[in-house]
Amino acid sequence: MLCRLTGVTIDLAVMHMGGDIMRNFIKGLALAAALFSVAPTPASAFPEAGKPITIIVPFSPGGTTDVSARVLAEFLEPELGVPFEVINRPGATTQIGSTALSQADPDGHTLSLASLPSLVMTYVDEARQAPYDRSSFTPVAHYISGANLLAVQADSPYKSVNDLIDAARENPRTVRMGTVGLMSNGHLPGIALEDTADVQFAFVHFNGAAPLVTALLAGDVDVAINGTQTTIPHIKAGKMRAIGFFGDRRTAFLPELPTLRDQQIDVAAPSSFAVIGPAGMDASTVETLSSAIETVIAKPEFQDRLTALSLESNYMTADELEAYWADFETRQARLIELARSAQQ
Amino acid sequence: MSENFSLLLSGFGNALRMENLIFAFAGCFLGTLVGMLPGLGPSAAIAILLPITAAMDPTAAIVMLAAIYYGCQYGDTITAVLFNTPGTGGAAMTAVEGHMMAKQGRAGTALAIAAIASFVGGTITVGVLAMIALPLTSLALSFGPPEFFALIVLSLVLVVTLGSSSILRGLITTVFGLILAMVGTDPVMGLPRLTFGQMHLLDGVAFIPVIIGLFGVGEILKNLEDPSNSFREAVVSKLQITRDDARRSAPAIARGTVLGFLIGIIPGMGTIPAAFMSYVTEKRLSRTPERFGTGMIEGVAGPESANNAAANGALLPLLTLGIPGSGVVAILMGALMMNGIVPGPLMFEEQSDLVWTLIASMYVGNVILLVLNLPFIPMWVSILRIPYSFLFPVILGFTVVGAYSLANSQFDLGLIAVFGLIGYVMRKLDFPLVPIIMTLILGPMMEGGLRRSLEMSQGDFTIFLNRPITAGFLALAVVFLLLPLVSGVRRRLKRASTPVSSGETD
Repeated sequence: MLCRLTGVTIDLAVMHMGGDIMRNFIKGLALAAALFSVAPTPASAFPEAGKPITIIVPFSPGGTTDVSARVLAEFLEPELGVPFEVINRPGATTQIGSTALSQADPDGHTLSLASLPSLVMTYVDEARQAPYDRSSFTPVAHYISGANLLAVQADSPYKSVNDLIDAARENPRTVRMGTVGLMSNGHLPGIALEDTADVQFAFVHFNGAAPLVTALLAGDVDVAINGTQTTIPHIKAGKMRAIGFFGDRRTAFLPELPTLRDQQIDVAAPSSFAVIGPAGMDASTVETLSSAIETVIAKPEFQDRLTALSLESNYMTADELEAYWADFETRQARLIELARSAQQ
Repeated sequence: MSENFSLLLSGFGNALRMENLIFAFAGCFLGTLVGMLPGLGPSAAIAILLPITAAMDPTAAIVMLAAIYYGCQYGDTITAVLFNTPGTGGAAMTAVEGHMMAKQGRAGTALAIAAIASFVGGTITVGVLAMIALPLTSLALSFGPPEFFALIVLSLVLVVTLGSSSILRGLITTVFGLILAMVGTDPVMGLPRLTFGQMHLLDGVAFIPVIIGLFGVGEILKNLEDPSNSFREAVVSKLQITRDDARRSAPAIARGTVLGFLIGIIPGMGTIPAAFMSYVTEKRLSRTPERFGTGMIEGVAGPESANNAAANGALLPLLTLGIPGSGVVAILMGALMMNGIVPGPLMFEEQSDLVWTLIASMYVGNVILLVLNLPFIPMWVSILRIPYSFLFPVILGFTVVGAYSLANSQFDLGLIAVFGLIGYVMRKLDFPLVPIIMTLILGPMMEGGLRRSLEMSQGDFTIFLNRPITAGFLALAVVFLLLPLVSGVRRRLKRASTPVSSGETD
């Protein structure tokens, strides 16, 4: 027994020595690299070996955000060599999860997959008293782009978005426009459309996509602002038609569907999933993470997984994401103000 | 129809393959265990296992997740009956009568009848679903926001008039529950309402911590008052179902199955209102309604069958329209999507194998659950022999862990404590707990239905009178509200005409 124990100790000691040699070797390499390159070497190694990286998902398990975070985590794990865990902190339209992220240690081991429209809404709307704003976070990488579409029943008289606008102009507040929720990612594009076309719709706010789709099929609303994922199956079944896409470019899943801009209506309301961290992250940590995400997104097998989920990737570097976020915030703030004043 | 039937048979062929049966067994067992932990329901269990099932064959994954779904529901019933702690609300009605039965030493009977009722409710509705799914679709679609609103008004009237032994106490708790249900973000302006600057209240008062506090913690506090009043002596772990039990349960199960299925196919209603409606129906039809609340077996059999029937009914919008009818089904769909299968109206044609396997495996799950659980009932009941000084801390521990793990939120733990105290006080003052549960669920639905209806009609209230189903439900609500009043007046008139009546108290 004693023998075996000693044996183990010796083994460990040898491994330690080996480890020291390796470490010195790496140190030497790092020194050499530092001599040859202008870029400063990272102050602390990221990711810390063996320490898991947590991705906070501010929605419940099983939803689009959750599933896309889990797929990303699965591919990032071998890329960065540390375990990933996805933690769901749902509630208050992402405000609970976002608060948790803003208070986390900015060492790069706590990240979140943010739905940009929801996140921006929570802090732009002052009534919600969110304890954070854009400066509380570090942008890491833009991951997925998508947009809602305008769907009508297959036998609807509206063939294009302009038909819809004409009807609303003729009889204001009679075209019943269903959304997935008040102040939601589905409501605000509708507000933008009202604003640009200078018409008024009769908004009917549901609680998520399932009741909205049911209402459109039943004819309780005339048009629905809904996501592609939950609409396409009904288009294929011949029950619905899409008449306009809110993205700034067409979607690969419905290539024949014109955007609103294609129909001479200057409205684009894309939505985004982006990887973000708490404020104060090291530039080098952000760089490591962001380039790992870029590598993963470029992989064909990763793209296959996204396509199966009806999602489209759209990688942006941290700097690009920062500029995009600021611009998005300005537009979103204006729409929320418009939505509020329309309700009064 | 006959084509569907043969597809269902081939679905059974898939579900009954050896490896799938093993997954079904594992799922039922895991589900029962998870369901027994208060607060952890099928949604949580399925969500936890999603990453694992993503790596499995889609059929096996679906079979296992469906089995977990059923197992959880039964596990929930076990804790509801034994400890009066329904973890997810579906078994709240079962807790009312089932726990009283347990106190009389009939826990085994309550659990057995619950298992049988669930089995019958589940089995019959699976068959109905397979036969006439398509014609039922129009029924589901004819339920727009106004119909939804009217049905909920009717339900709330039933909560007040039949949910408790005293209308006054029922009304007080219902109003208290409706005030709780107002907390959150208002659906008109999107502004915080009654949240007192607490972001954790922006979504409203979380349902599961409330139910765990009111029922579980409140019950423990009440029992601590007088630990000698435990039911340890009363434990009889035999499974006896007497002829009388069977005679009283059979019609309750039949009615619960029909009612539960009809409520289940209305998108968004869910299993809790179904169980409640079955309970009040049994109470209304009973010759001895005053004995409800003292351990009536009909009050276990009816709601349990309704519960399972509604769970199957909720599959209808999924199968015919591709719309998940309940939260659990939505998560099941999440599992399908991770395997690249997109739910929709064409799923029946494009993935008919998988869809019918899902239906068949729900049936198989029901059978396995019955086979697995009937022999285990004496074991579950014997938990009651554990001394309270050990049992209570363990239940409390599981409760807190379960509730915390749902949303990883410490705020929820505070809610449990507060509602534990409220539950204790309500028990002391003999207030019914069920109206709070019902209003917390129905309140936001009612407000949303009203809001949406008026958005549809641009503020015109006649939308509630122009639609026949809506007007019918509202008329029924008025009748139920006036019924106690009318019968009270009649009784008084009767008494006035027969002045020599004895000192009858009512």
